[in-house]
Amino acid sequence: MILTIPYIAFLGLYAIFLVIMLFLGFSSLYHLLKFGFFSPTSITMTFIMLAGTVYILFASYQELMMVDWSQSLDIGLLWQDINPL
Amino acid sequence: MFLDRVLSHPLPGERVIFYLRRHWVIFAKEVALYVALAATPVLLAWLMPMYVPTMWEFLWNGALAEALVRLALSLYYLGVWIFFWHAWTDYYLDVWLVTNERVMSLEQRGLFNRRVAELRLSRVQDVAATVKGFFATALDYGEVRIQTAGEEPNFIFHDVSNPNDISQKVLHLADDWRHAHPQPTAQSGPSGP
Repeated sequence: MILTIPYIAFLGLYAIFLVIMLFLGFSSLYHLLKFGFFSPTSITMTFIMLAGTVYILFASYQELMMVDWSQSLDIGLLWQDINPL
Repeated sequence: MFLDRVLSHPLPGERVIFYLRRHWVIFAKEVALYVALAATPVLLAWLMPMYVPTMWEFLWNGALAEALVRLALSLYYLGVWIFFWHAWTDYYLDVWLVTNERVMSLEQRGLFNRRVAELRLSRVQDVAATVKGFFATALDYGEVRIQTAGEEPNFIFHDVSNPNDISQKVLHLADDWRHAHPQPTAQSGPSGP
C-alpha cells in the first residue's frame, strides 16, 4: 500500500503553529494596551514589534511561494527505500 | 500620563514619589539571547556549505526537505520575534511604584498572570539593599528588600538601579509618614495609692 501525504498538509500544520504564535504575540499586545502606558517608548516599541511581525510574515510568504506545494510524499515508497528486508 | 493609569485609585493626598523598573542590563541580557538565536540559522547557512556541502544541497533540493526547512525557518524566526516581544512586554510592565502613602508592585508573570501588591508605609519596618555579583557591583543594581511588620511577606524590588539610594529613600518616606501620622501612645493607667 502506498500512503501519500500531499505537501499542502505540512502547510496546514504550519498554519496551526502560526496561529499559536500570533495568539502569543497578540496577547502581549493586549497586555501592553490594557496595563501599559501610552508613553513614546511604548508606542515606538509596539510599532516596531508589529512592523517586524508583518515583515516576517511577508518574507515567509515570499519564501514559501518558491515551494511547489502540489507535490506529495509517498510514504510506502519511502518505507521500501529504508526497509532493509 | 501613565502614572495616572497605574495609580488608578489614589488615596486622599497621595502622590507618586518615584517608580522603578529592572535595570536595563537585565533586558540587555535578553536582547543578547535573542540576537544569538536569530543569528544561529545565518551562521549555519554560512558554515554548512563549507563543512557539509552534501547535506546543504540535500536541504535545498526542491523536494520535501526544502519545504520543511522553509516552514521551520519561518516558524523559528516568528517564534524568536514573538518571544522577544513578550520579553520586552514583561520587562516594561514590571513596575514598582513608591508614593507618599504606600509601595506598589505591578508584575507581569507570564501570559495571563499579573500580580498587583501594595504595602502601606506604616507597615515598613526595615529596608535592606543587596548588590551581589560582578556585573551588579559594576553597574550598581541589585535587590531592595522591605521588611514588614507582622506576618506579611517581605516586599522585594528585583534588579533595580541604585538599590542603596532607593532603600534610604523608602526608609525616609516611611519615617516621614510616621511623623505626619503620629500614633497615639499607650496611656498608663492610674497608679496605685
